[in-house]
Amino acid sequence: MCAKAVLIAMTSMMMTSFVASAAEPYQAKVGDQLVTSVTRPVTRGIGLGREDLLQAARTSRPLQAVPSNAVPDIPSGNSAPPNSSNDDRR
Amino acid sequence: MRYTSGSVLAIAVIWSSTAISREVPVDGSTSGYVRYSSESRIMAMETSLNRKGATSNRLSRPTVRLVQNNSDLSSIGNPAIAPLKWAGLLVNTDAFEKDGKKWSVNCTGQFITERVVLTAAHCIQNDETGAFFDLNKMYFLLQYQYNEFSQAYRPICASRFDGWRSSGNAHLQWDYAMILMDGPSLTGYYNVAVDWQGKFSGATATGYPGALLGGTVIERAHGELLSISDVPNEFALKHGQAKFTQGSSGGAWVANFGNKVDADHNIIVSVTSIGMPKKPGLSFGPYLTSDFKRLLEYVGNGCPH
Repeated sequence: MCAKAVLIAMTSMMMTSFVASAAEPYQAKVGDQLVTSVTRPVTRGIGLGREDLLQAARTSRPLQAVPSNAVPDIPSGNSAPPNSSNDDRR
Repeated sequence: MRYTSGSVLAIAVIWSSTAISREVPVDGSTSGYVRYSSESRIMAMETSLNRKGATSNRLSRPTVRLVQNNSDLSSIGNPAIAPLKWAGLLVNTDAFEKDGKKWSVNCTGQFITERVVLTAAHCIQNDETGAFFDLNKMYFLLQYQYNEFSQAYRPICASRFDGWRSSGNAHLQWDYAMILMDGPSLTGYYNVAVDWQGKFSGATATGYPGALLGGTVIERAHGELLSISDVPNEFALKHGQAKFTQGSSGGAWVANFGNKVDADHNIIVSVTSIGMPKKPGLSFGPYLTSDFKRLLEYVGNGCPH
């Protein structure tokens, strides 16, 4: 009975170690700015297959940031007119 | 049938009703991850779209045909050549749940070094909840076009400046993020310019706006760069294309857009952050400063604690 309990506990610990949990964001200072990062947890799985990825891409919804109510003010005529070539230098 | 860039011809796709449906829940299956290592796969893809069962995995493909003088489609870019071969679709699978279904969300991204992909900050972090999207469910599909891609990448880490979560319009200048990928770009990467004001007057916005062909093709829209008077380090791009909105988030604004691969062409000056219904035909994006390069170095080193 005791050996069985130990076996169950060990199996449970091994299984738990294979299950990925969402990584916590962490902060670091880069230059004089703070950045927040996330790291992908190590998993045993190799991820979605090609057809699943294509399905996800097809059915995904485009993201858009939620703008504040204020509309940025754009002064008119503050830049050179666009050109039709691929030279965008001033 | 073969098509080439620079042609006056544009490509139209006759999708089946299921192909364009956006009402299908995402299958969370984890079977059979496939990595495509051939650099020329996208070229093969371009030429084999009309062949049935041409590949080993026997994907069903939409029928492709060429049409002439369709202004709606003239902005479609060619991901087989520079610079769009360095771009792709960033997909956050199972990003949210609604009505008992799991939904994925997408943005645009592009390689700016061999291993680092640039996108918008709101593409790695839920803008409304503040939660980061699960990197374990994030994929970057290089050269995504017409239900194909050349290679799928998974993130190692992702970072963005904390200024993105500050209040007011000033946070818009921080709407960019970088993702270290699990493998090198097989096609190359963009140049990037920081502190470029006075050097460029225009740029070409790129991305996968959902309003055109359901976000299945990468678009390009050239326009004038305009400074914003009341938001620091923010620019607008006046490209005039009202449909260039959702889905193009994170897509590069490219100065000197063209198929030449050198230091003078294909220079990223910003990425699409937001669009506004009150200002159709305009996209807004951050002005990149020296902070950008510092973040790039940090992410390239694996986002150390």
